[in-house]
Amino acid sequence: MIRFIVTLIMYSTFLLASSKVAIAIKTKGDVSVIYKGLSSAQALQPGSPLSDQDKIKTGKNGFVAIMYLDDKTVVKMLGNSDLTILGDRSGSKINKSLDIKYGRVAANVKPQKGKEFRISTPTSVASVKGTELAIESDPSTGDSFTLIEGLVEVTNSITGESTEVQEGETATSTPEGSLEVAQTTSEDLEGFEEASIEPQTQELRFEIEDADGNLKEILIKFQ
Amino acid sequence: MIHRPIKAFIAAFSLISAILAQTGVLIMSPEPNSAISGDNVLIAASLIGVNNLNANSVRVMLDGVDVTDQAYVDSDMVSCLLEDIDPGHHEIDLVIDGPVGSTKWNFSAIGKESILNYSGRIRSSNSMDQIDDQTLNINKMTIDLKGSAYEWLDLKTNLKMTSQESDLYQPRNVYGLTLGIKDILTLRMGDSNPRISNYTMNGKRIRGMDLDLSYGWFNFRFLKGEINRAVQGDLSKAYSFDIDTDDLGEKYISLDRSGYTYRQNVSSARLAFGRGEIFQWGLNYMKARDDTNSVDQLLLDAEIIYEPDATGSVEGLETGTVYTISELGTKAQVLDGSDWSGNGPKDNLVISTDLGLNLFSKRLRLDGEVAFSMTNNNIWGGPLTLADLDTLIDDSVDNKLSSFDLSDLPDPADWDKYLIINSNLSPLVPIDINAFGDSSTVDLMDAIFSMPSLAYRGRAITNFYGNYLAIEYGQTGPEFNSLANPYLVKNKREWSITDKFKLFQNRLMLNLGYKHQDDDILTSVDNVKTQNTLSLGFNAVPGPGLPTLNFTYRSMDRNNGITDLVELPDMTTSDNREKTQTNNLMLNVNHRFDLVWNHSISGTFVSVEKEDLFSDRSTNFVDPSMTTRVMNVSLITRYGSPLQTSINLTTNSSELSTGPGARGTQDFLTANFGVKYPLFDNRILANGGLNYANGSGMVDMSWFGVKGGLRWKIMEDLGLNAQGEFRSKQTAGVSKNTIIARANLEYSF
Repeated sequence: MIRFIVTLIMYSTFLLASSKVAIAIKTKGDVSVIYKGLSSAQALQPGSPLSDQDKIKTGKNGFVAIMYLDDKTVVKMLGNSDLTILGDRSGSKINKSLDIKYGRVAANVKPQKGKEFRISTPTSVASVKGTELAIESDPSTGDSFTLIEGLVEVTNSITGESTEVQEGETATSTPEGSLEVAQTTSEDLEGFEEASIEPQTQELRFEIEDADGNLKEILIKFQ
Repeated sequence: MIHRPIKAFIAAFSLISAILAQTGVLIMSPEPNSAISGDNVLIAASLIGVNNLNANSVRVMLDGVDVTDQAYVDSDMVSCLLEDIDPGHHEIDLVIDGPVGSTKWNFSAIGKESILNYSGRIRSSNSMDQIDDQTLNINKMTIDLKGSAYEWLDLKTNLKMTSQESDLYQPRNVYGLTLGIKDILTLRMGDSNPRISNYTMNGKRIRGMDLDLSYGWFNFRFLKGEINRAVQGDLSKAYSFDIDTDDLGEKYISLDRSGYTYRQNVSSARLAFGRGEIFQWGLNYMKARDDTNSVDQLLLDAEIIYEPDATGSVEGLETGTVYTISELGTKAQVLDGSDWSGNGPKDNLVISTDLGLNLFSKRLRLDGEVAFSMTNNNIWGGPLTLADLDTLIDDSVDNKLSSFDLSDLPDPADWDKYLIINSNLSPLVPIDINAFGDSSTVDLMDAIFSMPSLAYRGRAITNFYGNYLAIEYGQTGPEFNSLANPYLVKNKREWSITDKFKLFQNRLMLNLGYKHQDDDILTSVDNVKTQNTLSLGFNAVPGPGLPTLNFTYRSMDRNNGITDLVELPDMTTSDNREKTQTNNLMLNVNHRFDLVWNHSISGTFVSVEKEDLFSDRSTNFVDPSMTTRVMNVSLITRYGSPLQTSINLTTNSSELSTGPGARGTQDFLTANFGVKYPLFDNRILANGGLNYANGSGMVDMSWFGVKGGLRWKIMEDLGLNAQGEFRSKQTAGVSKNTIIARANLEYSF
């Protein structure tokens, strides 16, 4: 707990200089962050705020789940992964993207209301509007995009070829330029067990007082 | 006194203000009414939707106790990590001064997480392919279990059983079990696909055990098992035969064993230093050897169909009759293994070292490997001894092999545990001996880097400022061989440079690449084959609502180094020259738009032109030139309802050589229509489609197909996927049908 507070205080100077876009909601094992403007890596603790261009890296046994502040879009990084979180604040909304250098990442992206959530790797770019997917990226062998729900458009950066990937399908994009879509097999989700994304329910909860002074609570749940 | 309408307005305004302010708080953790572990409970909420927030006014209460002093609070968010919370029901109250007021939510803390966790997936799949007159049915069962205990022990199984399993082939069933102790020790038993290094062992399945120890900077891996299991072969094809004559002049059948596979045992190890994050240096070895005892010389039930040949016939045997070896008795003799004409048993040793460096936070990656192999292509007869070597060429002078002094050499027979050395060793002399001695005629470094059984590669990858640059160099000698890595392309030297630029926040990507390949490895190569490939392209993704544009151009030159015609004894010539240029162009446009419904349209144009750069060919030469044009348009439409349709049209036109001095054209048109519709709250996804193809030119054909299926989520953890397709094909007036059916049932727990 003390370490958590000290860490947050130490970096509050840097954090205050930029708007926060997400929060680390769970970490496990070796997880580090390089905050924008700093050069050294720090251990990432649950509850830590994250800003545009912060770089997160997980070790062999690491795991981190981060949640965007505007719509609870969740990104989970598994072991041996490296990405940069990107977010452009526009009022209370965030234009989101991820720059994955390598590793395994799962995301539960909420509908972006006319905007897109871009996920780029050294080999591919994916345009996501609202979906649940798993990504495995390796600069030397390429990427796989496995759609658990929704729709995503994947572009191979080498050839420029694009394809739509639907629920139950996996797109494989390689540095040699191939881009193929096939039915998802159990092997495609090998290693993502820890990232099983559960449907997140959002809710509005408020109280009103009637003429007699009685408090009533209204709860609206939505996804 | 306030009028009633004004009171109503004030009440409504207050309510709307309260709602708007309240919606500004977004609860992030824990989820309301969720049940979570009491360890490290994170309370978090987003405040970016709250206007005019005074962060100093925010208070976090847990069960009425103020825990704000343990929280991080600013104008965007609040978070508070609590290490240990008692099991039971809890209430969080986030209090913000002003119109936002109090936001409350509840959660339950449960005890410590179970020390035993497990999950699994069982999948049964069946397929039937009836193509023309051939039918193939395959049934498969896959069981994957995964578990952990005490946070340090992991267990995983990989079990697959298929109806394709047969003693006549290598295993199709998979039996794998993996045990892990934290990230320190991993033990894999049964079937696995180990990757030791690029050259030694790189993903081929073995059956045995694999121990992987990783402790800090120290890494050790050892595996032992078999690459191939022994296959005795089909009893009807286990022997071929000749008719021979014995010392007494009697004819007999000389049986030669065929259709077998030796059991191939393998052991491999890797010792590496470094965690791999920044640095790792590894030393690897791989040893594989065929077990000569694993194939039975005598298969008493093998079937031999007797036929006399030009050398004569065996008395007492009837032409066309099937005999077993027992029935043949003394009329047959089975050759010893060393005389079998099939592939000889092999012995293979590979050693290698590799190095990997990650610098500048992995923005610069350097890695490479050097490997050397020795392969004995027939170990029947065992190793040569020094005495064998002494008399190998002549026996006039003791301890001399020709002029080479053997007296200081170790006896090869003493090393047979590591490698069986005899005349079938490849390479017999691993390096050009002309590089040694005072009168050397070859530079030593040239001799080393052109060793026929040497393989090496190096790579540098940089990733700075959105620029991904990769440079690679590699060479695999013609005699380099790893039995545990049989897919490696031999006799190839190549280097490449590729660069990818990302501009305008990844909205524009430029690609540029060049690759050179040749086989100029040995100093004795007369005609060097080369292939140069230049590629460039761009990918533009302007943004939502705008079309994406992709363009790729690739030019490939091939030359086999032969410049002259070969004159044959009959005074004709043979033209083996190859010098071609192939240009490949691809343009693709994708666009999503709304017009009554939501559409996604895609158009692709591909052009391939291959040109023969020699103009002085004879009229009967088979011209390698060819031209292909492909155009494709597809439209996917999502209607307001869950209905989705897709239409795809493709034309393909090719012009190519059909034989000596002859050329022809072939045109294809294919059209597909597909539809998907989810039913019963997405529990069933039904799909169907029609497809049509027509070809004209060198081959006239057409086919029409219909397909359909469904994916049914029977229960939360149980799903069924069934698909079927029927095609009626007409080729040159002959009609044939194809039926394909697939079904799988999957249960997860």
